[in-house]
Amino acid sequence: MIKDITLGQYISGNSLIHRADPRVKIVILFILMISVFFAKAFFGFVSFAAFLMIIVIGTGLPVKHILKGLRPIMVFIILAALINIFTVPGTEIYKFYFIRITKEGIITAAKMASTLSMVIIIGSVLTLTTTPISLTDGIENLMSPLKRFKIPVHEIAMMMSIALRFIPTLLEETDKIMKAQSARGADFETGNMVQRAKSFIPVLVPLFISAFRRADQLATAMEARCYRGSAGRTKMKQLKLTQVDLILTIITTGFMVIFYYINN
Amino acid sequence: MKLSGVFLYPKKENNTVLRLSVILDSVDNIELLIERGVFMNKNVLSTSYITKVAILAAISTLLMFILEFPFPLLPSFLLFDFSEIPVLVGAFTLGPLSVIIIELIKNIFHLIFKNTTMGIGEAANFVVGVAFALPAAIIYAKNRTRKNALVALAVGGVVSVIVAIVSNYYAWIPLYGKLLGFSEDAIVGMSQKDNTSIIDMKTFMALGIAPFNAIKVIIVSSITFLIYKRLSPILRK
Repeated sequence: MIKDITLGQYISGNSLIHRADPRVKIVILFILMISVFFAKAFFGFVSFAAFLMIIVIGTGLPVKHILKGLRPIMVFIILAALINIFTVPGTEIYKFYFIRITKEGIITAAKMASTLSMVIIIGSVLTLTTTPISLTDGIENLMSPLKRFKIPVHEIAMMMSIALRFIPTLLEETDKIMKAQSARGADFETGNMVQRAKSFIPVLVPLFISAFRRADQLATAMEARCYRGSAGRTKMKQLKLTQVDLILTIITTGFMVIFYYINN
Repeated sequence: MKLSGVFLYPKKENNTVLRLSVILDSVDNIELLIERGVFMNKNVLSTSYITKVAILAAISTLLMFILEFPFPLLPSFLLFDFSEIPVLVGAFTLGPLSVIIIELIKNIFHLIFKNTTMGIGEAANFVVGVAFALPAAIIYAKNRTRKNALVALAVGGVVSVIVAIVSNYYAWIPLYGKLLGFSEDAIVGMSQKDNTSIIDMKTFMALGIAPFNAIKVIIVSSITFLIYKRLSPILRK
């Protein structure tokens, strides 16, 4: 009844990028995402795209999978690019009654489309090569300085892990409840907006109740195992920086230097 | 560092007190345990609070992933989902802090798994969502009655619509232009496809952002109001 959702499209592999520490990956890819926006000249874009190609090939995953991430916003990009082509003022190349295409328009559109696609590809590389759990681990570790400001970083990371763990379970549960209610004659497919929203209530009530029951059981189970927050907590999988991370950092730094000179 | 046989029994009635029955090698180890926070529970948030907020965040994420749709006559890139309902349930049962955490987790997941706007859409959703549920949580916490719940939802709704308009006008739309190259013209142009009366930024606010957020607030508050009454006896246990 509910279409399958894939949370985190992680595909296992053994490439350098797969083996890298999640913290290093997050930082590197974040820096790359920001630097895309500083690409100015044509060669800036080309060099960035080339570097991205190397990364994509370096993951050892089929390119098709990585490009899949672009699909949901392709319509968006194309539409915005078209509007840019037709509306940006500048030297005219082509004119047909009220439609005119300018050189500046085409350049802006191309820049926008390539920036956006590259950002999305960088994001896909991260989620395709890192398990959601190690992503949360990495985020927790990177945010831990915030503990000084009394922000409960560990607790939030713990909640993220629990949420990740329970999303598939709750999805299954929602599906079950919807089926059970349809068997009792509930109708989710027809009717106007108000009726549809109302038909959702008999699903939400049992869903919340069972979810809270699960939360209670989980809390009891955690306390029975002596969970007491971050103080003195150890981890089964320790995050450790290895040679792989050094290599990736050196490569990225090298590229950033080259990229800086190309842009200026 | 040698500890032999440390048994911790969490007390059922009060989880902040850990009853210890410890067989220790030497007296030093007691200091070690104190250092590690075994005797004192430094936990700000209780375990059941953590699991409840986590599960609400999971439902919120789930609702966002299974169903996102635009409203007719409104710009089709403004997507509605039911993910604010768990946030409001959290606001009423668990208080203001839970609102921020649930919104944060939901939007981090959206950013990681469904990133299409470089985090601007997520930031906007976070700010508007918190503007909705946080006032509601604070007002409802003062007086937990049915009437006050209505007041809380109404105030939260008004605040969130105002915040949505102001933040879109001064922050999110300009950011879209700066970071992603969606100029104001492009955004207005895309909205024109759905409603031809949108001609500039002001009409986009009046006919796009404002009604979208108003409808969202109305749908979400009415569903929450209807389900919360049935849920509260179980949730407050």
